[in-house]
Amino acid sequence: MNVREPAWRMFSKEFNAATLDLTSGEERAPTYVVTPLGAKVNRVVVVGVMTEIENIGTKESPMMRARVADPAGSYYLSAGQFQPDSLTLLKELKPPEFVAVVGKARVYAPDDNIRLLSIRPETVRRCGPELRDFWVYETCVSTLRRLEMMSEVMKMHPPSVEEVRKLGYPKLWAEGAVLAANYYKDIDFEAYEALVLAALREIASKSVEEIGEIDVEESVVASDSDEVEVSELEELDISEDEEKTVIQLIKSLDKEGKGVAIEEVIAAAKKKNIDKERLDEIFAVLMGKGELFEPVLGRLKLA
Amino acid sequence: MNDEDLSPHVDEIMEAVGDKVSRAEVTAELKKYLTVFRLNLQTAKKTIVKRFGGESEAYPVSNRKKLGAIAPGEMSVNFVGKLLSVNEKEIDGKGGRKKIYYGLIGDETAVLPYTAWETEGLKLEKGSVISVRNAYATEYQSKVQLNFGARTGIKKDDTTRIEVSEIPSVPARPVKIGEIAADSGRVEVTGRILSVEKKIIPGEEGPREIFSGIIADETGRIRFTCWRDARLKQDDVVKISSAAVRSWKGIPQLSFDESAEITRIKGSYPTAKELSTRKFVEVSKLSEGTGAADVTVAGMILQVKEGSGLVFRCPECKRVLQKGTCRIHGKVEGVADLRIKAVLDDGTGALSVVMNREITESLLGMSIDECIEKARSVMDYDVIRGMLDERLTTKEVEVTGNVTVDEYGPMMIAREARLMDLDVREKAEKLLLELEESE
Repeated sequence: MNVREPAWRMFSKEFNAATLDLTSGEERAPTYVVTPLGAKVNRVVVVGVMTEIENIGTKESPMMRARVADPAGSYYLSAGQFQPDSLTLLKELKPPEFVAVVGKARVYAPDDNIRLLSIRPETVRRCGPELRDFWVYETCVSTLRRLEMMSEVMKMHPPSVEEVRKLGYPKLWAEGAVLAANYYKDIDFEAYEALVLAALREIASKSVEEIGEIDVEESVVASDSDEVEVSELEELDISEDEEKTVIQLIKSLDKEGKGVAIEEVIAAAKKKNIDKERLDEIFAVLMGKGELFEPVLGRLKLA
Repeated sequence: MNDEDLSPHVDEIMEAVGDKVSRAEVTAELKKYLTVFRLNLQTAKKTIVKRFGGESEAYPVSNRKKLGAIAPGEMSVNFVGKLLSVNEKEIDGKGGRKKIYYGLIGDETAVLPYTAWETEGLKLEKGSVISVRNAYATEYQSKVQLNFGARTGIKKDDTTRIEVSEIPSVPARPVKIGEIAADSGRVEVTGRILSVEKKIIPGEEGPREIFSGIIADETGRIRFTCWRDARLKQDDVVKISSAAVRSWKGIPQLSFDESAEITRIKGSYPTAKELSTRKFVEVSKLSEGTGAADVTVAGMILQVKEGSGLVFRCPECKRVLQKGTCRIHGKVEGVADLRIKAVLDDGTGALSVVMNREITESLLGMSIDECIEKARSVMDYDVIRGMLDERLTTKEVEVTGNVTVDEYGPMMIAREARLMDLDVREKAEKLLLELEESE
């Protein structure tokens, strides 16, 4: 069979947490990474905000690296001189932009201490925020289905591909689920559930606010956007007022349109009674929505 | 596999080798071949028959079937049956006049008509039981016909007793339309007629009327052909007591005639509109099957392939020309056409989709004439493919059509295609409430 590998919809948290690689050694056979939720991934499709892009190689032998943010983290894209098509696609983009990326999972692990998962793009397209919300929704549904599958697999002793398929899951899913169940220890399912809930709240936000589902007062302290624990993200309830205040703040500070140092924003926010932790949360939310980005480390810029 | 599972296979081997070996010995051998040498069942059985000096030629290569389970189109069927009638007839064949036998053969599950096309040295006796291998099944007016050709082996079988069924066919199994597969055999179906039209087709005794259309229940929809005027009307809800499932390129269809009882169902049933609201089928389901009729798939277009856009077809055979040349008819004046060959992916699998001119025009928002004009103005026919790529790659679409499956995976010839509504706020809210309630 020469059947094309499906393009998985999953959040970067799940993708980046994959530490199980499958390589058959055969030429032209697909390689996979298996995620803790049992996705046996060769290809993914991601719609998010491209926040950064840089050439970490040289002009002669370029190596482009880019980051695409989803609601709770980022995917890394990479393309080198041997992927001229991917390079061309990436070079055309000017962050921040909403992009849809289709690509293959790549593992970069030069030694035991370094492991970086990235996507080698096959297709990159600019898109609008609607497609991004659609992708987030689809990804929530897909993630929930894997969570359900894994909870079934965990009840099996021993887990069996046939048994999982009998429950109606596709073959590739069942294979991944059994591999994941045998390999990963203590998978934090709750963290993934929380991630899905937070993402759903974000895309449903307006109408949910109207029916009073979000209690702004209950928010807890979260840390830096990238290190936010998934379980805490659930509580990331930021009011629109807070978002607006911060956006206004940055706008007023960024007179030349080149971005503002984070320290400046922190100082200015303090005067408005927003402390650093809270500010970090607001940054995380705005970045997740694609309204704010960090073009260079330590500087913030509005989209 | 335990001894009980092996038992029918041991029976078959015993039949082929006769009394030369004991049953226990055959069982032990079969077990050894399967578990120690890990041969597949067929190879193991064949090997054992050969070893014990049985006629491996006479031995059925695949499992025997009951007559009631034989479907039209099966190219190699093996069975045991009782000859209920044997008639002789002379026909004009390619090599001059020849003799054929025809009649009825039956077992506990069905009585079927047969024709033996190669009669030289063949003796068929009414009332005798024969074991047949490599026969093939065709269909005539929605009934299964058995054919014994040059490859077919026929052996008299004095050991098997057969009680021919009084009812000349197996009772049809009640099924949901969504479950019907190419090999479902005979089924009982209840559904609403979504469409029906009369067609006149040429028959042996002159033109005849058939009625074909689409019937649907809450699980799916399927094309049907009715070989009599059952006064089926659009919107009727009917129960069809016995329909044969035929398959065209792996896509199942229903076929029924006088023998089917058609009952009109009163009471509440989903409306045509409700039944037409399509449920999306997962691509992985399609990949794992043999084909499907009239299904809708939703996913993202990941690629607009080469060969999409403005193409020119041979006026003779409709093949797409390569550099103005037809593979069969050489240099011809091509007829312009538009098409899209795309890869659509729903996260569970990838589906190749071919879309016709009408769909291409509507997705592109340009008529074929405008496309030709555009291509001429930039002097590049490939420009349209570029525009389609630009417009459709990474777009979410839903497509409806028939699906066939080959070694490259599932392929759909689309009948309809449209861009999806991307507003997910309401859906997200609904899902969120469900999740919060279940916590």
